[in-house]
Amino acid sequence: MIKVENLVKRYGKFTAVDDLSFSIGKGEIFGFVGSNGAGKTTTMKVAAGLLKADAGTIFVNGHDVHKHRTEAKRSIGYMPDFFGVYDDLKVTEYMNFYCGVHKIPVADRKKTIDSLVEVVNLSDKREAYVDDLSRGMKQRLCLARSLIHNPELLILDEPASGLDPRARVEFREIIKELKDMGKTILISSHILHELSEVCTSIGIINGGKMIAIGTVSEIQEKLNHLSRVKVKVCSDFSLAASILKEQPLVTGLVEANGFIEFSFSGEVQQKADLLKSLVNKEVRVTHFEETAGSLESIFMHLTNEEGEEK
Amino acid sequence: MINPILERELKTRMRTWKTPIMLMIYLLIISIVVALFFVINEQRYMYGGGTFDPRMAIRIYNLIVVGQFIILMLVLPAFTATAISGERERQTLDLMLCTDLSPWKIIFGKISAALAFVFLLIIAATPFMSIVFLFGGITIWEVVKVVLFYMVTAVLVSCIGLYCSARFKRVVTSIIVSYLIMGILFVGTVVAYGVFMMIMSTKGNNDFVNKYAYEILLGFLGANPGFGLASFYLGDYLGISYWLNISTSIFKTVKPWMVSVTFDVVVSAILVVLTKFRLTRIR
Repeated sequence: MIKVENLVKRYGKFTAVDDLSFSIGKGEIFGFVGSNGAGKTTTMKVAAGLLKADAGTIFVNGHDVHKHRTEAKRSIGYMPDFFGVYDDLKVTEYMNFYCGVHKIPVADRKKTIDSLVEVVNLSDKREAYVDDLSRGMKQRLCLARSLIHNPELLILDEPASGLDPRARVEFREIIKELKDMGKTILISSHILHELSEVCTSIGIINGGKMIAIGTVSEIQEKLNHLSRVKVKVCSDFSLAASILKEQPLVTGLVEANGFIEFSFSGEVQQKADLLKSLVNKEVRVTHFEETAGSLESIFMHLTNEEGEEK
Repeated sequence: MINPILERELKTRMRTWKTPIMLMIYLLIISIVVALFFVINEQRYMYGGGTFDPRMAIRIYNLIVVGQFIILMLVLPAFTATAISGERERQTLDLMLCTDLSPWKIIFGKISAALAFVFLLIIAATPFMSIVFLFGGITIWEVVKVVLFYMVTAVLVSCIGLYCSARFKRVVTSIIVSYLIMGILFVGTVVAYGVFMMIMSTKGNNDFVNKYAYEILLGFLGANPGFGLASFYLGDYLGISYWLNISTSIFKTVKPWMVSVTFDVVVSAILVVLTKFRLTRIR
């Protein structure tokens, strides 16, 4: 459905996307994971035809997005990481405007709007002004807008950002529904565990490069030995952190909420030795917990590894 | 199917309180000016024992024509200079550009929405203009001509605003530059003409100036929509007939409003193409 080949995009001297390649098959949901500035939005904008690639090509439904822009655009529904709404329009008016933009015949518009507001659970807000909608509702309205011309590919740039937990769950359910409708979806997010639930495959991007790609289980299997460890200490925080940073098996160390968290790529015995080394140096450890190899730990490990290589 | 941009612009613009209030202020200004004009003239003839001067109606008409023109020129850039940059600031431009909506449709939707508003202002002021028919001296055809001139000039001003809004990312910059260009067209050309004549006079090139007085006037003020309109209706007051009579070149047949209209049409076309280029340029 979408094929990205050796994509390069620069902003002046800064390379935002560096030789990126991946493809997504029809009906798949591809999760695009990366930290801020990793190149996700740039890649999505190039795919949507809003930015020009410096090198490489993107094919959507067999059409080069720059050479055959009009044909490619018809297959794409793009939802950016901002609302992009007209606050002075009602929900139906907003949808009707985009129906006009997509040249939907007037006779078919009511049916199209009705079905889409139902998909995004906004049927009871049809006559509400966009300005009066909550953040989650606006996000859903934007999703409905991107579906108006019934595109085969949906490009959703951080659709769940800024939503409360309930709204995130609702949004996830809508994505699943779209998956059932046979849509191909390229979705980016910082909420990694949510992607693992809905995505068929995942690509981890860092510094404009794809550093891992595959199904969620493939990536997890590849890094099965990797675990995330949480440590809490009594007042010796900086000493503990410096000891841990010196350990070769420790990567992605962060300090948050009074805990030191890091990825550990060693065996059980080595983990015990790590705790022992802390205690031997008179660090008073009050908590030492190993968490499962979640998508977050993989992400932290991979992005940190790349950063260290640089 | 109506242009979706035009439909949305009209819907959102016309249903707010802003439009009727603006319309009310606009009509209030015109009515105050007309009333004051009547009162002042009434005072003049009150003790003179004279009768009503029918030429007063034509003067009122000229006043309305020029006053309305000034108001339109002041109001219009504020509408179009925010057209594209406003969409950009609202982050809705990208959403339109990633559809297969043609940039021409975006441009014509925006321009026609601005023109529709101008047309509303003109229609709303028609009762004032029709006062002149009570006294005679102005034909309906002359009113139609002035409305057409308004529309052509309004297209130019809309195109200036639209181009600026496509050229500059920020709404404020776009508005400032639009008014700056308007200032150059309306005031700058007059200043340039004055400076040129002063220089020529200082250098003692009076023969040249006298011989080509009309051509120089056209060269400097042809682009000025105000001059186009003024020459159209106030030609005698400005002495244009005199300059026309002394002209010996081929330009003798070219009236100032013709130059103004040609300039408006050509520059508008260029600006529309440049705006289209700006909209479709992908970096």
